[in-house]
Amino acid sequence: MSNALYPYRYDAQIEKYIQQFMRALSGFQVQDGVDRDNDGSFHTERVPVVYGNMSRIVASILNKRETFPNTKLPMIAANMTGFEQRPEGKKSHFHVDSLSNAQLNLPDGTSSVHRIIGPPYNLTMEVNIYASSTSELFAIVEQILLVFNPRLTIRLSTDGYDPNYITEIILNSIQPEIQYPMGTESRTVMMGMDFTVPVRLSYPKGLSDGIINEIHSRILNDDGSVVYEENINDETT
Amino acid sequence: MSNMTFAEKMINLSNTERRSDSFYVKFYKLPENVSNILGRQLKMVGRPEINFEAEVQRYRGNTYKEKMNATFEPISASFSDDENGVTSTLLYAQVMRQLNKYPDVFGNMDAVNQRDYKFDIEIDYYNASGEKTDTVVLVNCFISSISHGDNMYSDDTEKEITVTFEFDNLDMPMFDEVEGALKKGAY
Repeated sequence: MSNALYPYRYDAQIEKYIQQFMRALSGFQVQDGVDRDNDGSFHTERVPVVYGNMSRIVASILNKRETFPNTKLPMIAANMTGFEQRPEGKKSHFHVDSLSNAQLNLPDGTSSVHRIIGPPYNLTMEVNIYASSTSELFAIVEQILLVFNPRLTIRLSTDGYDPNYITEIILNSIQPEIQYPMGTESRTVMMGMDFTVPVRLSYPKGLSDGIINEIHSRILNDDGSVVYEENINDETT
Repeated sequence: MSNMTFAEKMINLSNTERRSDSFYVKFYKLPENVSNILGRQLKMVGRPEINFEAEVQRYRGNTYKEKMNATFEPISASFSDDENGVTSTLLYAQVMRQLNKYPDVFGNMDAVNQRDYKFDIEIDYYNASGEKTDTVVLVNCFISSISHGDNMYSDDTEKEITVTFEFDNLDMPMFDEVEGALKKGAY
């Protein structure tokens, strides 16, 4: 039995993807239907986005067991429902990306950055919109549908070394649903949406040791015939 | 990653079947960053196909077949198209080299300086523990076709570029190592 440990590599990547997804949904607004101060303009307010399963969130709102319950509606709940491999995005795991600092216009032009390409996944997210009325629900849904035309691109990082700096949010399906939670008589006005976010986990950059493992030596004649050919392998690996 | 020797391969004849994704493609005689990007973007490559034409001779009711020259079919490879169009630009830069519109990797452009636009493609095959088991090198390749998928609003799948490479010859470096074994009839 081996006592070796795997290296601890954690950069909160899944959390970052979920956060960016939720941030993309957090800009939608609802409008107050009554002109309370008679100035001809209606008050609008941002719809909050929370993470969690909708039935749990509905339950926590209905139970009102918190000291300062947030019973305000509408609310958008995002929840991760799946994390599947995306074979069409696979790249060779024998490949090491090599980027010189000169290419990136960084002052130290002599060194280079090596990185291994991480595995591709599809992050499937379920979003539920819980509104106080059907018209409010439709107002939020309409805004979302106009933004997703046809996909929404999100920027994940501003690091010049990061090849996964952007990805897309794809809206797959919409399910209107009416629920009557246990212990209540009134229905909850909800609509569910399923999204896919293609993501790629990344290894820490500079992971490759930069040691040359193989030298392929090949000398050709003028006519293209091989004069000398040798594969020099590093026997220490 | 080390090469597996012939003896190791024979001893370790394993019950684990080779997987389709245990390979890696390298491009030689192209600028280093171009080789690196093409190697990264490659999604699929065919295995070179070797054909021997057979010539049939008939003599007094008997048929004799003669193996004629070996011919190599062009191989097809597909690359994933990247969002910023780098992959297609690099491939078309190579097409421009073939058309003598652009200097080759050594900076030569005219016939006097022996313009060499042809490149080599090495396909390495690996076993389950990441050791290189087979290698084929396509010598003096050039691009004979590039095709893209259709641009279509109703289709939101990832795009790929299919490229066909013609080559002069095929190197199998693994036989350099087993030359002695071949002479002894080990396989």
